[in-house]
Amino acid sequence: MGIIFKFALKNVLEKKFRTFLIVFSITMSAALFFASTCMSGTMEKIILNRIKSLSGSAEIIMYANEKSPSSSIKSKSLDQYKDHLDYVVGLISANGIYETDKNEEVNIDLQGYDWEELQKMNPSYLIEQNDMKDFSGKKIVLSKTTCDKYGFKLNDSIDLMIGSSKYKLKLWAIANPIGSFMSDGKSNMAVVPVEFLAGAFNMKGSYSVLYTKPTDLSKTSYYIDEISKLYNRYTVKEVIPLQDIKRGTSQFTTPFMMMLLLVLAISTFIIYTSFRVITAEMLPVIGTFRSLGATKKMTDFVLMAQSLMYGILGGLIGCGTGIGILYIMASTLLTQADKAAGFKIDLSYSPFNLIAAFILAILLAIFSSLMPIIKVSKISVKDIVLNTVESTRKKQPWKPIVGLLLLIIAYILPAVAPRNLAIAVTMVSCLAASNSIEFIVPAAMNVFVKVFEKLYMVIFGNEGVLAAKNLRENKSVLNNISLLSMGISAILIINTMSVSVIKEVGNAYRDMNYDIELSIGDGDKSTIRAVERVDGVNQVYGNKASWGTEVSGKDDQIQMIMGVDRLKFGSFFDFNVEGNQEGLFKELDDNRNIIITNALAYKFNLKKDDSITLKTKKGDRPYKVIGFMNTLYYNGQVALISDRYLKSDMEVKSFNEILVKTYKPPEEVLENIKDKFGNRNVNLMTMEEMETLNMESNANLFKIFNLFSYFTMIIGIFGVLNNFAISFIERKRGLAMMKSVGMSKFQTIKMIFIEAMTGGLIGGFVGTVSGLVLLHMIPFMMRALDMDIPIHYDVKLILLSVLSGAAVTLVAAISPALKSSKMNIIDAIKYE
Amino acid sequence: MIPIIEALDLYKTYKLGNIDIEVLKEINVTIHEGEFVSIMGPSGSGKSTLLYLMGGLDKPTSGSIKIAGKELATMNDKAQSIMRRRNIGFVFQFYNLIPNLDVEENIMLPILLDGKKIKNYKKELDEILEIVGLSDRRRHTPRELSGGQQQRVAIARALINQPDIILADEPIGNLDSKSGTEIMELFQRINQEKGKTIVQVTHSAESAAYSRRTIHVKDGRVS
Repeated sequence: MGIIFKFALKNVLEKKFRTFLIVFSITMSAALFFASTCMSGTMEKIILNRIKSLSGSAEIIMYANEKSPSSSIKSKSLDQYKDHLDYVVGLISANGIYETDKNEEVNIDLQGYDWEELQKMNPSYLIEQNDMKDFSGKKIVLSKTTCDKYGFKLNDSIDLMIGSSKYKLKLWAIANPIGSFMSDGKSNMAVVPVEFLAGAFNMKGSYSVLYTKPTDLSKTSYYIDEISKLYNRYTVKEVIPLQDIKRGTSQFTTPFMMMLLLVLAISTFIIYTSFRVITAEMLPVIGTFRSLGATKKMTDFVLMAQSLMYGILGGLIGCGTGIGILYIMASTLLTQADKAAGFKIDLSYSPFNLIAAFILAILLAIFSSLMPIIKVSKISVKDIVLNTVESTRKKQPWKPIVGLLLLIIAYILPAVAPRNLAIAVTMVSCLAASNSIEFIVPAAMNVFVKVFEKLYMVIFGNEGVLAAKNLRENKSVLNNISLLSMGISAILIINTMSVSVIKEVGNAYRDMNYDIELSIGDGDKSTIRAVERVDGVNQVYGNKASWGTEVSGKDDQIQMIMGVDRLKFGSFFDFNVEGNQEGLFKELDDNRNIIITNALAYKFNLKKDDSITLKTKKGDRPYKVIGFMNTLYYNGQVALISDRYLKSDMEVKSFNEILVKTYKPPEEVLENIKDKFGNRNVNLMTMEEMETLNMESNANLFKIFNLFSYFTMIIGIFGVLNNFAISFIERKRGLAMMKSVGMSKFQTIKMIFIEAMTGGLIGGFVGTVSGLVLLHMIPFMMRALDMDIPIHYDVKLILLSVLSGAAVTLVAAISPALKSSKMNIIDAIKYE
Repeated sequence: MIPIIEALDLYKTYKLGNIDIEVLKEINVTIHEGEFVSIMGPSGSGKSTLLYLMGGLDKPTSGSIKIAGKELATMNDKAQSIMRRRNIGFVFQFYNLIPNLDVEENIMLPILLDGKKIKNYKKELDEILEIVGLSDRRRHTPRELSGGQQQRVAIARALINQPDIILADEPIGNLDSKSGTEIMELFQRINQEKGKTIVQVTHSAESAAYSRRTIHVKDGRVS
């Protein structure tokens, strides 16, 4: 037993490239599994960090909304919970304008806090300071970044325009640019004494925002309810909407898992084919040991132990690599603003994730090698010793038929699957499509050879004919085609998806016909009038919407319901309403009618004239579906109702956003609006900025997916290299025989390259076809994930995929071609 | 009689680890056109090496080999390959057929490698298949044939380009006695009826009996 085990271990160590390949594919599978499973947690952390940089340890946030009696909130009522709350911190936010030496106006985001309270909630780290106990009156703390930028030194006097008055503030301390002083690189964060801003804006005892933290964190929900009762006309909620964050991040896990399936399929294939060679090589030794009395169990165990060795090694390296990949993924997800703000990458994983990845590695190794091991185990000792093992393969005419059926099923199934099963069905279809490749490739190859034999005769001469004939039933070429096609599918899917998303995001922004968006929360007609008077403003529309409206009986919600002012809405939004838009908008005003996106129609299974019951503040209200539209605005999770019903049923009275069309450059108008609104808490962005921001986050996400697809392709390429090496060993004798009957070195090289190129082209072609089948499934899955993104096929990309297959095999063929031209004919030919 | 293969003062040394092994020493052999010669000798005597050197599959350490008066050493890879296609047919103990090509395709290999059109050789193919008795097996792959049948395919392949010389390395070493006899009778017919020069390496005196001359090799020398 020990000696067989030693042999197995020697085998693992001696065959360095094979060991590397198997361990590499297991490593990558485990690593990508680990990274995929930890991705959503890590994303959550990134988002949490973004929120926490502003609010520190606070759990509950309170501020005024459109129903509130004033735009500020008082903290006095919270006194009754004093014993149960760690702190109550009030913030008054305002904007200060600093004029530089070059007469440039710079915005300073002023946060009015009581310094001591702020330290309890979100500690600051000061680099230079005066006595912070005296932090009152006209004093300011700035971040080191801002001080360095404008040359401020401790105790400098800084002139700031706040509201309509000018103030001289003393630089009381310089802080590290973290926490409340964290900046996205553009803004300048400052803390000033809260009572100073209260005086400036006449807000004594009132705040823009209140933060608090219950002593017993498990009772956060309870206190939110209690405080909500107390502040029933204000917004009271969790600082960190964990559920919403989780829902958002979990959407990203599914595409990663889909990619992982492809990686696992390739790895399984590589390990399976490698073990076929391993078992064939070990067969004589196993025969010898069995003839000497070793039991089947013993020899099986040795083979399993070999696979276990690969699994353990791959699992261990995979866990380490997984952390590395997760780190790369997380750093890719950090935006420029995050990086400028000094966010460090904070990975989220537990020992459970590592153990799971390790177990996956071991299971992958064992299950992939099981079939060849069982096959060897069934061979009788006599057959092994006398070398009478039947090597002929039975013809299996059912294989291409089954493969074709699998492909057809994979193509049709996602289209007909109900929404609640769509993700699972798409995953199964994805697996079916990947497996169908192995079944279809041999038959496709025979057809190809028949078709191209004559063409090759004309192009490449007789060597072309020989190459075409050699391709038939050539296991190594068939394996290469399968590997290539899986790798190419992965790259094609990711790149097409990335092209599609970028195109669609661009299209989505074309649905919005305005230049500036002003998020205000509580805008009214006077706000509109104020914006209208700003220099450069052409047209203004007050957009009203209700978010997260529950649909009765569906346990799901509509992300955004917009109120339509039929006279203006059409000139600000172009949602591709099907049919007569004007007529439908008019109909909205007639009754409780609703226009929904096709994505929502699919989600809630709704047809024209169907009724949908919305849970409104006034109770359940049925709306009749009168039309459909196509837009990616809010991922297509949007519906339109009349302005009137939004007001009456959902009690949305004020404008959430003021949309502005300009006749002057939007950036200039944006500054004008900012000036006008001074200290009010408004968020302004030009369409260009919004599109860039969205593009950036999409580009980051696709960078990660691309990383996945390239890893898949790298594993595939290593597999192809291995196959060429195996194939060379297997074909050595055949090639030598060809040489013995007069094949020259040049002819040998030419033939090998023609074979490689053909195999690569077929691999590229099959990969492209299977990639297209998989791509066809994606929209169904995306729709189930509430991301209705149509696929845009890029012909250049498809052609490139086919050609890249040939490129890979041609490069992989260089070494075997050179080796075969130099080999010793006699050595190769003489011995059986 | 015209000499067709001439080996002059032939030496062949192999390296086994750090040790030089002299496989052939001072070999001088001449084979004439139309001869059927057997090379016999014990295992490791160098008889197969001699055959491979004659066919240009290997290079001698020193000495010269002439095929139809042409010195092999002066030929480049292309010229040697062309010579192997057109002037020499090889038959091996383990047949060395290409498993995924059928009988016809295996036989036509030298034609394909010579850049000729297969369709121009249909008549020759039919004739050779008739000679080796495999007309009804032309579409079978090697794995669908018996050992004897596979060796006949190998012989047909060696004949298709109508070479002057056939070199056979233990052609019946892997066959049962019945198949062996059939193959040897086939060689004899080819030698007598087609006038081909045949050189075979064999262990068996029975097989050697089919030839007209036997060269004995022992310890790397012609004895």
